[in-house]
Amino acid sequence: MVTPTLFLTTTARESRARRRRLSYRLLHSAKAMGSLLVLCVIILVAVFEPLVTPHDPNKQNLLLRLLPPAWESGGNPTYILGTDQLGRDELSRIMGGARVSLSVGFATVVLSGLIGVALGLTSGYARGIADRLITRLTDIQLAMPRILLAISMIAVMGPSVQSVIIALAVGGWPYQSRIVRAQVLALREKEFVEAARCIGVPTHRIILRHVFPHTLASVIIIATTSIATNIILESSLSFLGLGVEASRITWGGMLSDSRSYIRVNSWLSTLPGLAIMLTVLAVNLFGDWLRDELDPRIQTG
Amino acid sequence: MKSFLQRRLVDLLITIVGVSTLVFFLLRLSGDPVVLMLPPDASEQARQALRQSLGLDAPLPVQYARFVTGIFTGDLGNSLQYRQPAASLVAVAMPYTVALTVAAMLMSVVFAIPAGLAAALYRNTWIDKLLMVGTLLAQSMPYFWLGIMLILFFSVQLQLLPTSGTGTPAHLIMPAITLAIYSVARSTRLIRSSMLDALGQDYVRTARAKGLQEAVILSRHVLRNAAIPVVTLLALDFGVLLGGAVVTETIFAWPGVGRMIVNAIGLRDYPVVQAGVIYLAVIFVLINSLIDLSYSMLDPRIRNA
Repeated sequence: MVTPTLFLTTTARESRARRRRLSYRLLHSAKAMGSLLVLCVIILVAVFEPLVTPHDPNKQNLLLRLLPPAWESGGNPTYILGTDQLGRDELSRIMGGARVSLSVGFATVVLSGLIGVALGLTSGYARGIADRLITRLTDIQLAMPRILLAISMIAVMGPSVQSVIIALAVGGWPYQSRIVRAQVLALREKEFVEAARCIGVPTHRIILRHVFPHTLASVIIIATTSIATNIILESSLSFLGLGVEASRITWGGMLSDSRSYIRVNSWLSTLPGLAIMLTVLAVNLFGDWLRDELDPRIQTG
Repeated sequence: MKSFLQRRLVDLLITIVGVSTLVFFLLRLSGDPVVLMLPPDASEQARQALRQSLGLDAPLPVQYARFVTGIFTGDLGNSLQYRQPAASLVAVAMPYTVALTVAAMLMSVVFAIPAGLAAALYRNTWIDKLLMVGTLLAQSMPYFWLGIMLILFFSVQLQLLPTSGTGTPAHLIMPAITLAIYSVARSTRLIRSSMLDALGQDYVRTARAKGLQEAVILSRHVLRNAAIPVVTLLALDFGVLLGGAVVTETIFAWPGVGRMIVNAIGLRDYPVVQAGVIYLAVIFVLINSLIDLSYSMLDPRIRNA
């Protein structure tokens, strides 16, 4: 029979170990929890958009166009944030815009991460001509401003969600591959790699199971900051009309449309930008926290 | 030093050729430009005629050779809209883009250096905290939205500054701020952490122990070492600024290359798009190499390597 007290007491060492675990630190950091909460709300809104929006974001009502938010004079309480130039509910449209921004942001990061990590691992471990080639390609890609690259590609591929994701991923992978390559160059000289080689572990397994896990911290950090950059890039492209299909609701597109009506209803120009800023801020804060946790040696900038 | 310069020059040329090749293939492989340039119901003969006049019916290696020589000779085809050489149209617009970008960079340096210094020297005081919050917000906001907000406030409500166009220095203020905001924020943070790093070094402690005045320590030792990563960041930022110029010029109707490219895409003026993108990339590579050179001159460890 085990007495209950044996389970309730913890040693000082166990307390310390528990405090060091990442999940504990996550739950106890206001910065992390706050930003994560905001992000979760935004993600939920984006996922459940048809269910959450108070009105149909595409339903036009030309009698009620350009209404200010409900708290201003002339506002209508059914349309809390007002209506746009075609009488569509602004709040619903802002909720709708979250979908494109988040999906493009995440999908691009995944795609560019896959490509970048793969190429970084290869070039860092294999050295030789593969390395020189990949490094040269990275330099060339980095030599061009990302938005120009994206615009060129989308100009010919035609605006769509896929083209934006591909165009942004093509411009984004060098950031991952550079960091991964730098780390692999150092890691491959370590004893555990040499030991694995000695006992005959095949090269691909050495790279995947032994070397790659050590690069994971940097990969995650870069991925988080990339989400923020990609969201802003996507909204810039949509603003120019060179992003996703014109039929989809995007925050950038809303900002572009609002410009003609800026003297009549300035809220239309303000709200989508605030939405973008809130989302990116949440991502940046969470990324900051993550970076502090995973590698405090990396300089913030 | 001479062989160093030679190596750099070769590197520069390879990068320019590489970037142009990238653009060349991107613009051709992502779709057939002729299909895009004509209305969808155009006949096959019309397409063929256009192909011939643009030289797109030649085998790919020939097109590529013509293309690469065209970059250096300034012959990248004629604009479909204006019937003038695309390269000269770009040349007219380029000074505006460069002026805007340089103004943004200057603004960035002028604001970020004192701000970063202040944040580092008064670490953890309200100045530091305010700056950190401010820079975080600045980095999180879409810069083109800031442009619109600036127009709303300074042009529509206060009637102080012109909304768009060019001509007076007043026309340059808002576009430059819009373009610079991200760079200012990032540079401030970097200068701050770079200074904090340098201030924590042993040689600073030694200098203080020797009795050296704080101001001298800062100017002679700390600043010089802290400057190196800042110069690198300026180089990286130039590319971001060039890219940002595209959208900024569109908002403020600034007659630069960025706006030209965006308009040309709308009009399917393919040669102008190509010329604009290429020459922007070339300028970027050139400036980068210049900054690289100066970087190696600042840091004697690299110079003698």
